[in-house]
Amino acid sequence: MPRFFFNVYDTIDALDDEGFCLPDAAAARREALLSARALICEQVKLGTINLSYRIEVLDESGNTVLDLPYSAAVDIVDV
Amino acid sequence: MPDLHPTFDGMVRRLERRSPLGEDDRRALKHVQHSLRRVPAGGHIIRDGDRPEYCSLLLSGFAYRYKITGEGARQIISIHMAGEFLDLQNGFLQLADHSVQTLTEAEIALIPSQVIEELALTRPAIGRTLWIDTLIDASIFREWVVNVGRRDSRARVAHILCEFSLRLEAAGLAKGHTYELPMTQEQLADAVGLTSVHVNRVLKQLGEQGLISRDKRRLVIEDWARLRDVGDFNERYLHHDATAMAA
Repeated sequence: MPRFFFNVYDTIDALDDEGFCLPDAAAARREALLSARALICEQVKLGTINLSYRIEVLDESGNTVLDLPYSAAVDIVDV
Repeated sequence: MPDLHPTFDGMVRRLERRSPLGEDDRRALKHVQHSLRRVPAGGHIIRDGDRPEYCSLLLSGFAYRYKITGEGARQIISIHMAGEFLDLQNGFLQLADHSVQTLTEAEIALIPSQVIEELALTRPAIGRTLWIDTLIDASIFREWVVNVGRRDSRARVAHILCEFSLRLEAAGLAKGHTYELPMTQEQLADAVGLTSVHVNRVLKQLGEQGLISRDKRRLVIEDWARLRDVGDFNERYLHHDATAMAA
């Protein structure tokens, strides 16, 4: 299985130097989505959501597989 | 009689710290009937639902207990290091209610369940010390329930790093709050109920705040007092100082 690296850019740049193996890019996308949502949950608990933060997924050669802004990880329904 | 693995001495010393043993008890434990098995990293020692015939003592390497939810999510429920029993409850329970897998290559001693039961029932001092051992396991489980249930992500990770430090040191595997983390980020994530990405984010944050530093798997706790504070960590539940009163 290929290895993917997930860099988180929020209040800090959390570069992933370990990564982990997933079946394919689609699985990496799902993982990024779940993680973005979990990180947004942490923000919600503190009372502020910043959707400009993002998760970047790289493959083993350092190519960007996905750049996921938090704004693309959730739907906002504003009534 | 098979050659005595040095970890048997460690196991006996560890149990003896909990509760006094006589010379006969010590000998009975050190020479307990067993077979040796070498398990590769990621190998299963027992699976949920198995009917166990043995209790396993970890002689070298690391292992963990886990359960899987209906949706396939893994929760690691404890980590074990050399000298510890991995499934002492299987000496008395008929059915394994969780799985045990190695984190690294490991050597284990398989002790027939009936031998453990016989030791515990015929030698009260051994029975007492094994009982205390499972009680302390339970104490650690309780702390982990609190950790994954009630602490925020930063506290969860800080807490588990503090626990590893003290347990590895007690097992003679670490010194001065510096150790080789025996787990990947993914495994750490399953132990604290977060995603791997989230764990990396927290580790980086703890690093930026000067609480820890890391070089690959090598972890140094740079500020023990603050990490302890962030992790809401109190080592009481490990019962390392507990020398039980003589029966």
